[in-house]
Amino acid sequence: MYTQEFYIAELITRHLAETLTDDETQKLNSWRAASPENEALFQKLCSHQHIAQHIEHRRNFDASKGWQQVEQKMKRTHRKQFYLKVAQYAAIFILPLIIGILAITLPQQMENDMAQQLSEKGHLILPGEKKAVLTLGNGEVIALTALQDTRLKEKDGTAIQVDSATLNYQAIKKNTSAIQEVYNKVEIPRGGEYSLLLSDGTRVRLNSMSSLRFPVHFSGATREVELQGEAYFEVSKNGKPFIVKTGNKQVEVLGTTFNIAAYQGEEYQATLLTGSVRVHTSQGENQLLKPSEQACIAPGTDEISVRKVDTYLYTSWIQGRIYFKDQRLEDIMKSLTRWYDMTVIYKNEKLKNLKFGCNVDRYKDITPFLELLESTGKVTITIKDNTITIGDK
Amino acid sequence: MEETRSVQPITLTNETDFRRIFDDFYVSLCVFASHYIEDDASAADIVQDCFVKLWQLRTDFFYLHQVKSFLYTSVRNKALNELEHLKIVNDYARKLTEKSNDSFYQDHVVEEEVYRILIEAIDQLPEQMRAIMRLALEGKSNKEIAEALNVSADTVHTLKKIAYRKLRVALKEYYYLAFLLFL
Repeated sequence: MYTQEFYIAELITRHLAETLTDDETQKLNSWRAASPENEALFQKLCSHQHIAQHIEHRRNFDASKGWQQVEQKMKRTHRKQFYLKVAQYAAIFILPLIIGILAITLPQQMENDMAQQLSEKGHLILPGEKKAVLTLGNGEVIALTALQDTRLKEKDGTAIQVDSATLNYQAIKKNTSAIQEVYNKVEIPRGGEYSLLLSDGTRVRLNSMSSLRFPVHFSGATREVELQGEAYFEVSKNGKPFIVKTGNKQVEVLGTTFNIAAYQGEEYQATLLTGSVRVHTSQGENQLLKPSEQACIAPGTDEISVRKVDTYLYTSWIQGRIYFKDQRLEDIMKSLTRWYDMTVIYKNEKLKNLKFGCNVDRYKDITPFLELLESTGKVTITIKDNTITIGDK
Repeated sequence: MEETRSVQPITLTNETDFRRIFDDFYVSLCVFASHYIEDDASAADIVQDCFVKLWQLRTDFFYLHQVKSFLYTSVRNKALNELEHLKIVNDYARKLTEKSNDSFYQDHVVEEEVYRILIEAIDQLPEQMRAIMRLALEGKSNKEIAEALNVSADTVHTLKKIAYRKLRVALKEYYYLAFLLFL
């Protein structure tokens, strides 16, 4: 691309030296005709006044003096590189030593700090945990926690295995006599999360304040589930399309990994990690997603917009992280109050629009996050029981 | 492809070749940089830094146009960086966006290259012709040149004719040689 400039420059030079061939003249003329800017540049470069100015300007610079300075700089960088090498080798020996010392002294100090904070604030806002409510086909309701390890019986005789924090429908024997599909529903309360392994081998991780309704067997031509809130899917491939319905939107897939966030009143976001999915709205609009793309639908609208995203940002909760980048404070806190048992109060509306980022452990209490927020110097934070008040600095 | 004609193989690995590139480009790049930075001392400083960088990366280049592209782009980037640090000027933001523009870059590359090649070719001429051609480029008439150099107008006329012929050969050769080597 840049060679084009060099070529044009050569043509103009030869024009000035009156050495252009007819062929070249033609080429130069077509370049000049291509845009008024080109013609203007050409006229400027050919003007005697401009040439005189340029030659005058060149007198301000002296190549031999410049060369001396370059030689000095080359020597200096040479020396710098030498010291850098020395420093590198030194670091190889010194760094492990420092890490060793820190590893011994730091944890103790941190424990002390934590204890101190505890006594200062008197109260710790704790993260969520593995919990869910399962509704069976017959309407029976069972509360699940992380520690349970049992088998449940569905009315058509299928057994559901509850491993540690995963509902497993895979051990189920296919009951051919069942005519009607039996649906189960898993609801995750505030401050909870839970995993599911569906009968077709699809894995689902449900986030807080979400629910999934699904058939115990997939007997139809398509596999359909209904989602509210947020879930991460690893869909197994078996030839039948897998459809995730949310209100009037649906995502159709074959075998892929993706995340859907569809909380009421918030932007609908379907983020694709691998494979491909198609997002449909009730208006018949649809969009095909490629890996690392996200389909968004603003609340109350039916318009799908697709953008490229860092998928890690939208699936960090799967990795046990709380990761935000350049997000509105209100959006961050909204998401966090689903996981942490807390209420957030803003001293004024402007604070909601401040933008922050973070990457902290999802399974720790909220303190590290709040400390991070306060350390930006943009807000002050006061905690009373489970209420966090955010104020101006 | 006409663009490929300016492709010319090059080596920078020894200091004489590197020095030649330096002499060919240094002043032009300084002028180029000063369009961005508007201060001749900083402009020269930026260009020198870029040559140091070029020396460090000298084994990566095989063609003259790569070296040219590298020099012009790295001078521009360094100059824009520098501008960003000089936030004192009032209309700095307007200037910065104007100068980050690709067409600003392209126009000035063309400008520097035109004058660089031309002046280089003129500098190869015998002394009197060189003086005549420089004045002619600045728009002086034969009569004015004759007065300035204290020769007759006829001499100016004749020497100018020879000079143009020599320039034609010099520039053509530059061109033709590059083309052949590429083949």
